[in-house]
Amino acid sequence: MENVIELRNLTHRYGNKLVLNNLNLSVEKGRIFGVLGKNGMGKTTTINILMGFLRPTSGVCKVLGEDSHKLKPTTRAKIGLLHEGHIAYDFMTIKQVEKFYSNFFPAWKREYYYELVNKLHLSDNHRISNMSCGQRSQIVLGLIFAQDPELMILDDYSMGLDPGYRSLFIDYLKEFVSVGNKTVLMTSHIIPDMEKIIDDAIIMGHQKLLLHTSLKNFKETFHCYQLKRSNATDNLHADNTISNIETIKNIVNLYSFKDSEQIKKYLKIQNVSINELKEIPLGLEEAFIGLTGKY
Amino acid sequence: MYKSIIYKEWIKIRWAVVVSFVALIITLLYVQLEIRHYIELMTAFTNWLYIIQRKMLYYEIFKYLPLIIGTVISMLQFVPEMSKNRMRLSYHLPISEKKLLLSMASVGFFFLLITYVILVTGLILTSYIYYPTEIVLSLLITILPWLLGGIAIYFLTSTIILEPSWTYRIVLIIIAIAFTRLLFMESGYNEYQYSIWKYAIPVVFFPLMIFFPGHRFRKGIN
Repeated sequence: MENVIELRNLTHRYGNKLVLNNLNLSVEKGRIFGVLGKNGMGKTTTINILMGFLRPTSGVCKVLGEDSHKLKPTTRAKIGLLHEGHIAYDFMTIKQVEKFYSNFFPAWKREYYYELVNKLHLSDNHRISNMSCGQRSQIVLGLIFAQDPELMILDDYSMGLDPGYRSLFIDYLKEFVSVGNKTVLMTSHIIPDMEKIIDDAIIMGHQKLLLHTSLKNFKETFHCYQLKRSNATDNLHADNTISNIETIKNIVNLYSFKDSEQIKKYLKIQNVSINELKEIPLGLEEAFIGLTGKY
Repeated sequence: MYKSIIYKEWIKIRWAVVVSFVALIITLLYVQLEIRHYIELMTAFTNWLYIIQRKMLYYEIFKYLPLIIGTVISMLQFVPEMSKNRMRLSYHLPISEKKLLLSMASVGFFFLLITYVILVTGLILTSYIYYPTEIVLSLLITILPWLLGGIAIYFLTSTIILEPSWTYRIVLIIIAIAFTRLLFMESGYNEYQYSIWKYAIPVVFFPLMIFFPGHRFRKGIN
């Protein structure tokens, strides 16, 4: 399978602060990737490097086969970027911004833009600066769709959007990528929304990649086991078997990629009673918090 | 592509261009009325005395106009691009950043030149009505540093706005103030006649400065 994005030993520092440490990642063509991570885990830094606006301290970042900070104009035409905060040329109107972009892209599909924008029921002469964040998100998405890019990098697409606009955004994106051959890399803090659309989850931890797998595989293999708190459970700590432990009053939640039999064996060795051990079903958000921890 | 860039820049500066043209025409009319006023009320002799003996520049009202127009056009073009990181949109367009920046700046520079054409033509026509050729020719030499100052400040302001690093910005601001100050130190006619070329040389290179912040921003070197 062809890789659209390739990160090899990517390291980045801000002064003495190490943000990314030898990050390795491959993004295959034709899939939707969700980059998940708590604040300060280097998501924005990674996205900025991918977009070519930040040069990594060391390592390689290839986008469509080229160094991300040396992309040729023809390669840039194949990449649709959505910047955090739905940045747009606010001083333009709906009509002007479409006219402006259309001359840059030979395969421009203005009908894609107007299909989305017409839903706003605004005049073509409506200025973008006079729009709500939700309305602006439709403009930005419409412009990206009209560009018809091979790769879309959507940075925090849900920022400032109410549930209605978030849902609309996801629905249109789903429909757009359904034609195939499109690769999407997106970030958001609204994980239930991401769950509706992504094929693969890329979970970033402190300075490193915690997990990169298909959403299906993650949900099937990552488990939460609940048991009552005891002196023995207080001695448990994260290791190769237990990814994370959360204790809330008398309840202990163990998060692990091991199945229940393996966990039972492990707990027996640790002298933990397994009489009341039960598995709790996890959604993506709970699984993400379980893996990365609440704090 | 270039049509689109011109279109966007025009959207940003069109009102400033219209206001500049109207202001220029009104000021030119004012200068003409003032000359007439001097000649008719204070006699041609007194007017001549003021102009020749006291080195009164009857068009001094235009002195800082190129500077103001250059600064305003530059700010209108590049502040909206830099605020909210909007320049990222422009730098992601399928065009090299050099071509992009040069074509954006060319639009502003072009409108600055049009204002110069109106100003110079208006001043020549007005002056020819009342004064001999020598005065008109000296006018051209006298206002040349002001016009050069407007061009210098346009490119320097654009570079300052586009510059992502505050350290570089401060250095550029100092250069811009110091350089333009040198072009506005005259107190009479033709004072820069023999030195203007020395000031013109750096101004020729100022458009190239715009590439450096653009290059660093696009390549992520901050």
